[in-house]
Amino acid sequence: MFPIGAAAQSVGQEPLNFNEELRNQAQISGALFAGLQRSEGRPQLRNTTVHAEVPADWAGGVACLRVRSSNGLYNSVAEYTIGEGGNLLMLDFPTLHAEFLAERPAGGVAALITRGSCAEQTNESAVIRWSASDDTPATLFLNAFRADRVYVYLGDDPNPVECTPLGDEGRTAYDMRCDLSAEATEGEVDLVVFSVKNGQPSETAQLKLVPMTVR
Amino acid sequence: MSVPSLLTINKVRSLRRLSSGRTVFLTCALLIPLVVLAFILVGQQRSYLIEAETSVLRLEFHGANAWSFQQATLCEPLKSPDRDAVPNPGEACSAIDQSAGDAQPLTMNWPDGTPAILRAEAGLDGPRLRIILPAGLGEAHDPGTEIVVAPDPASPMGALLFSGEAVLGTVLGSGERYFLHSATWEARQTSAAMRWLRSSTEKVMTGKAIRGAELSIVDRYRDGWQWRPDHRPARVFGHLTLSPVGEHEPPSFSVTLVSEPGRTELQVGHYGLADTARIRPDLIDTTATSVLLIAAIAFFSLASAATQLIGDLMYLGRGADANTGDGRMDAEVVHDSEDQRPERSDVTMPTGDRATPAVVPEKR
Repeated sequence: MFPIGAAAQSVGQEPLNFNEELRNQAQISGALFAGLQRSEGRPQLRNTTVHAEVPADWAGGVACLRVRSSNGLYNSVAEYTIGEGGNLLMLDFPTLHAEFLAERPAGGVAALITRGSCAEQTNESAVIRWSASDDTPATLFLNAFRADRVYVYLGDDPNPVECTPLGDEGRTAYDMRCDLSAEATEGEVDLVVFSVKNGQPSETAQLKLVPMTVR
Repeated sequence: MSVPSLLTINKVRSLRRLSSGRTVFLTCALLIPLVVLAFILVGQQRSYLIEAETSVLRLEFHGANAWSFQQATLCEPLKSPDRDAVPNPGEACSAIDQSAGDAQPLTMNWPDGTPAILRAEAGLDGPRLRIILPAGLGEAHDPGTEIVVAPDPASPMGALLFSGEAVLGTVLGSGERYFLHSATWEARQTSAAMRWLRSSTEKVMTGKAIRGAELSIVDRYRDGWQWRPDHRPARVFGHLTLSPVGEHEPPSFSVTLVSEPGRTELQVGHYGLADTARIRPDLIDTTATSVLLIAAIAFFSLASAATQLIGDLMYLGRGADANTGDGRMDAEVVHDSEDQRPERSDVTMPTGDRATPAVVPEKR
């Protein structure tokens, strides 16, 4: 176990491309999955790097990192070549808005890394580590479009995790957080989202979580 | 000394007395409004009054709050949702993840600090109130428990009174169903000194909130002698009633609330704003609407005009008395100050019986 802030001294993996924007007005996110990360407190961007728990079989491919703020003002998309998987990969995050991101409250910034290019938008995701250690439970951030209640099923487990609505962080880009147990991210698992709105069930969505130690 | 010279000296003295009297008056006329302004500003306290039509209201109860319903249904969350359940539209509780109790009379004594989200929604027989308890209620009710009140049109629910912290509406997102429909607000103010003079507060600012805004009242507070830069929710007192469903409007309730006096500000959130906006009256709003200041200014304007008029009349009277026999007025009476008066030593001394005692030198 080690805190990321102390470890992030070396140069990380440079992005193939990096696009970000900080708007004056919010932009609503249409994606259901907004973030899968271990984070504690405000997102500290020391040396402007983030860490990804990249699985071994992502090696040689590319991955897409999306970072957004819950108030809908910040959005970035970056692609990285994955040289070597199966470990904690340090990714350069050359943002010009580190101060804005650091001022966001806990849960106010979500990061999601998925396998493949950003154009592909696959549903296979690894965990981002952000100002946290490896025993910090992971959190899934969702845009549930104001569903009354949202549940996340972990594989075949019949007892889902109930998500909680975001509050003061802002709820424009995403509106729910689902705190997963530490065990939930130990092995490869399908995260199935099920929500209730107006007393009626809504469509389910699925994300495959792949830990770095598997395979 | 000749008689004409003595006459001039007496006139100058008389003019000086009047001039110094006017200086005192003008000083008072400038200073007293400033004192009144200080009266208005020092120890200022402000309340906001909001009247709103909204379909969502977030409360945190403080103090004694008790609500009684003739018929209410408790929806308790299930341990695990039943994904195969087929819920009936319009039912109070969702068959998917809630167990429904029987509709029965219910009295709620809200413990201090209990958070609740109130929503107005369409029921089977008209509008109904849903109270969501995100933190539950004691050990008896789990977090997520909901109370659904569907009043019979023949037996209306009546007003529900509350005291505590309140947020009207919510910052909109796609898919939002419960939000602020409309609101008007006014800021009323008083100060420590004003409370001695008047028991009522003064309306210093009014406004309307746009549809989809989020409104709350916050209070600045001291940490020792320092005002803290952050704000905390102000305590409000209010009531709500379920509104009849309009033809083109979703269900809503009418909310009226007034905040406890303090260094309060109106906090407004809206989709697209980088941060919430805070509205409070400034010095111009305060002075432009202060009845006391306007009254003071009006009083001194009138007093000034009256003094001027009386002074002029007095001098005109003296001038008439001092008029020469050939009908020529003494030119000095029309000058207010010594500086303006032309140097004259050949003042025409009125002679005869019409000389006024005030300008006639004493007989020796």
